[in-house]
Amino acid sequence: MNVRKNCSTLDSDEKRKFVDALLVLKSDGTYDRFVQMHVDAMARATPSSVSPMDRNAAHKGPSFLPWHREYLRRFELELQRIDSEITLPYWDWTVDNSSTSIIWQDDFMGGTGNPSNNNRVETGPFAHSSGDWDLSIDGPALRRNIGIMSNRLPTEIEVTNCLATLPYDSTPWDRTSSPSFRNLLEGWIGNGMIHNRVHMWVGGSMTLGSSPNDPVFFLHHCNVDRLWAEWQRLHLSESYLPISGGPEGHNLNDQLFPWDENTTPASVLNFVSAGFTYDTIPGPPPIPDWIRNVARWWSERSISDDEYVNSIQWLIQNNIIRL
Amino acid sequence: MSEINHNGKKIQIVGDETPQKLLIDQKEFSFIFDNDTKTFSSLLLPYSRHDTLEDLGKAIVDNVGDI
Repeated sequence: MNVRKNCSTLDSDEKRKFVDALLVLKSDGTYDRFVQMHVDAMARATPSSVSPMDRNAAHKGPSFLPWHREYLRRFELELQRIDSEITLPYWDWTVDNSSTSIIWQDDFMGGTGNPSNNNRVETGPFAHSSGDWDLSIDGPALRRNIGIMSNRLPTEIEVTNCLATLPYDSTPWDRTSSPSFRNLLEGWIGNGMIHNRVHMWVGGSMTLGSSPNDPVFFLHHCNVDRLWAEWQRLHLSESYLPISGGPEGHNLNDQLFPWDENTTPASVLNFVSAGFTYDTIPGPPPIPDWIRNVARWWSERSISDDEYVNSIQWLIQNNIIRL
Repeated sequence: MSEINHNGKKIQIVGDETPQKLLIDQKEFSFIFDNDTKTFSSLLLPYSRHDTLEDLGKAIVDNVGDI
């Protein structure tokens, strides 16, 4: 099981391995393919009759969270092709919320851009002058403009309120949906503007459709995905919505663009089955003794099949068995 | 028409009522006005909305790079 950790807890060796793997993916073209995938999803209106500004394959609709979960997992698997011990780190911007936070140090993401040089990043491994980070889209240099477009990051209170919001999403399944956990987290409603605000706070390359050009994109979205995982754990009886009848590409069993027909919101709901979890998500509770007794009595034919099945159902309802 | 200089670029808002035009160094940029939220946005900046066309122009100058 891959456990995704807070980037502020990584030691220098873990940070170096992560950065090195990013540079390998950049040099072999994999990284830029992921950037293009995000640009393409941003431009794909869903349905095709609306503007991609209204809803697209990955934003402003219910599949915002499933799409990015799948995208991150595929990217993480590419990192693990380089180094099997790497997991995507997350950036908890409610805590590491300044331009001097550890994430921006020169051995990790590097700092903000130089305002007298078109906000180009000039420090750290992704500085254009390093020769390792040339952008094929919206380049040539990575740019940041930290704290200008938005002067603060989302707060813990805003995140706590978001995690308490039900249901997952609501009609009309777009940037106006309310109440909607997805829309509050994505940032089109509420003062927090949670996910969107982080893109704006970093500024520069992170404000564009090619935002994955900035590696901090993956740390930001890893945190967004962690919050969705927390919401799923807090609200076990709440389902993904819409199950059907919503816009194309956003229903529970709709194909997520550009992947195959087996990649749907339903296919990504169980992140543990997908092979990862977060260091803030508790593991399943221990199996109680009475379950062992029921299993033994059933094997001895002392109780009925129905009684045994009831114990299995209890394990499912309490998230010990995940389907 | 209003005109400001921002970080070395000339931002011009042409027309007092809709439809207005947004020009940055004489180049026109398309935008969308959302009647529900009374905000301006651009395909160039998909994560943000802006209260005024001037704010959108400044954000494009500050973030979109070589324009």
